Amino acid sequence: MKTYSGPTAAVCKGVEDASGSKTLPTCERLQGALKNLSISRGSTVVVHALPATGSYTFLSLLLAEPSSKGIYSAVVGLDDYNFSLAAHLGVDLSKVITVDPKLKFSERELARAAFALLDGFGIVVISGRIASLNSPRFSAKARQKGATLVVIENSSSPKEISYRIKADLRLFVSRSPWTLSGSVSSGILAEGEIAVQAVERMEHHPGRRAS
Amino acid sequence: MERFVYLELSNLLAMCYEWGEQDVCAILAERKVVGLSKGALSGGVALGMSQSQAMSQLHHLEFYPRDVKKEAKIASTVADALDSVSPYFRYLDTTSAYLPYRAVMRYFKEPVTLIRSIREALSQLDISEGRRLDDDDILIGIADGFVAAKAASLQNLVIPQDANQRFLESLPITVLGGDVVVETLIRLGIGTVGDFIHMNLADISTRFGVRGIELLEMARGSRANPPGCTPPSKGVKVSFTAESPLVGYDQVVFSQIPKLADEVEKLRNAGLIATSLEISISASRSDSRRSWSLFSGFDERSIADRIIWQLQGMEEHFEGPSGWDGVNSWQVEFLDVVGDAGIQMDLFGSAKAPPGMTIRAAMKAETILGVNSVCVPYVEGARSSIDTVGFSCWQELLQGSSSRSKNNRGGSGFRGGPVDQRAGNPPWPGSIPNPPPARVFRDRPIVKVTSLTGEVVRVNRRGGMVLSPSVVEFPWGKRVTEDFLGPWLVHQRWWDDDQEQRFARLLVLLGDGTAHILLTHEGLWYLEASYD
Repeated sequence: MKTYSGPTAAVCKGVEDASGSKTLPTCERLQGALKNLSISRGSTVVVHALPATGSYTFLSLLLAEPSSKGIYSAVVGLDDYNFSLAAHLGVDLSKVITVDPKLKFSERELARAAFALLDGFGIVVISGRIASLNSPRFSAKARQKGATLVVIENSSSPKEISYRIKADLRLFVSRSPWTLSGSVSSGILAEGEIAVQAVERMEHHPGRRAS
Repeated sequence: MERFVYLELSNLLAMCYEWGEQDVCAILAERKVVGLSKGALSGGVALGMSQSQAMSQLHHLEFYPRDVKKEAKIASTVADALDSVSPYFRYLDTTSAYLPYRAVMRYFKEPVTLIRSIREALSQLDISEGRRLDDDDILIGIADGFVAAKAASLQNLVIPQDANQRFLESLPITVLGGDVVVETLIRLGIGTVGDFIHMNLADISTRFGVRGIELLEMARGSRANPPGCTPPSKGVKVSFTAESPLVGYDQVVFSQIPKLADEVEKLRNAGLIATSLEISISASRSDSRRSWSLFSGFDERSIADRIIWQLQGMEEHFEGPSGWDGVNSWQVEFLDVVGDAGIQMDLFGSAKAPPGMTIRAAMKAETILGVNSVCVPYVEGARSSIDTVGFSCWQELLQGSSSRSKNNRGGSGFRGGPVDQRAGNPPWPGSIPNPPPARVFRDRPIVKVTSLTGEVVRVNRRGGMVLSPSVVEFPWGKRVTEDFLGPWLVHQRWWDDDQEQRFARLLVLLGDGTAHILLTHEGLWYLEASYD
């Protein structure tokens, strides 16, 4: 899969080596999309996407490199996330835990569990609905523990994109339309491109788009 | 369970110093007393006391630091003597060693004979400057399991196999270890191993997680420590050969740390860690071979330390550097490796982080959500996209008791278990080809697939589609189809009336650029999965 970036922002000033302790390592395929941008540990990243427009593909790519570097991730509240896509895109699933999707829990219970997981996991991925229960507390704990909190905020239409969750970095993910591939042997669908547009949190101008 | 001989040489380190009968002196390491003169012992000071406790017993007690070089020489002398009894002794540190009983049972037949041989070998030994070990300082215990053998050595006991469990149950719970879980158990009033084993397994799992279960297995005698040692599939060896004999070796050993780290890392990537290794050193005038154990697992630095200890012991035997010609080569061979359950990389890839941080967080989450709620996903073959991902309880994986297919999990991490070789690359005809869809819907929402004329599209029994799909009506709105692939008929578990499934799949590409897998069964259409 090719990735390209839209207007991106150098969110982390003085970006360090990805293997250093201040930023999350990212795979080559994501580095193209996240040019000049790195995701700091302890930050809250909100991934905005409309359904079926690349948020889970982006998430899989985001988890791939950290898992290969021995960083453990937890995915909570994304019952429809297909981990076989994650494995297909290079995520070492032995470094990932989740809550059994066959069991039903209230969002409040899942939020408590995710809050506990921030104590020991490098990346904690939660849904926007869980994060919205107490987003300042989640962000504060992620910052304190040095864990990266990734919030997948799905909206059914562009008008419904919500900014209720405070974020250090907002990523708007979109992808090129799917097309059928020529032959089934090479995969039934042709791999498209993912575009990531980043908006940083500004101290005095929240939500301002970076250029 | 494995039967062990445990040997502790109490107060051996005191031999490093030439103290008289009346001297009241102690050797201090990490603020604990590790060696005592006879005067201090008779004054009520005991080994293992803290500095302040020792001072409160004898206020004029003099403290000395450890003399590493002399300790190495003494350890080397003791090891040589023990080698004459059996070459299978494994050394935990300067003062303690153990021996798998099966390694010597054919030769010695009776435990008493073995104990007598060890005592004779050690009591005749000129440890240092004519000083010899007292018989009281040689503590030997034989029992099933390492924990019981160590406890038996404190009283010089041989525990018969049929009495082993009773002996273990009578011991204080502190014999299982001195960690937080044991401290909490003591606070909860669980004083002995016997009290602990009668606790409910589910309660222990919920409250204490993996460490609790591990302790319970040790307490019940179903797990010896070291647990089921497994030799590595190919003997892992790291060797070094000098071009000419090296007199100064510290720098050279430390320069080899990256090489050792590579092997340690390889094991760690396979979810393993070495707990025993053999170091063979060849010097110009002598050779030395010794097995070392470290139950928390060796890393590159702890291996380098043991090479240096062994080299120091050899050097000291030549009465100082003048008689020491230098070392020609050494070799480290990993003897036992076990599953690396507790040691892991930290959040950002360094192995220096406090181990178990991630495990504790997962345990906490499981306490909130309930037993077996937190799990590790793994990919397996299936025709239905929802079945291509299985979930193993993460604690089950830690114990390595899961027999489910795990070869797509990556192998390291929360620990690998037995792998189903069959699942390597199963064909699974009828499964969805790559790329896998990003979303799979467990409750499969009903959708409506209609043709241009608004009629519902149907798939007949032979897999033919009478009308072309033009519009798909999702719960969130109608979408026009741009293209489609299929339908594919799937008929599975036809041999089982209860589980037989017959359905057809259709891949649709919609006008908004999205792609979905739809499934039709008995005239109804469902959304099975979506690409993302």
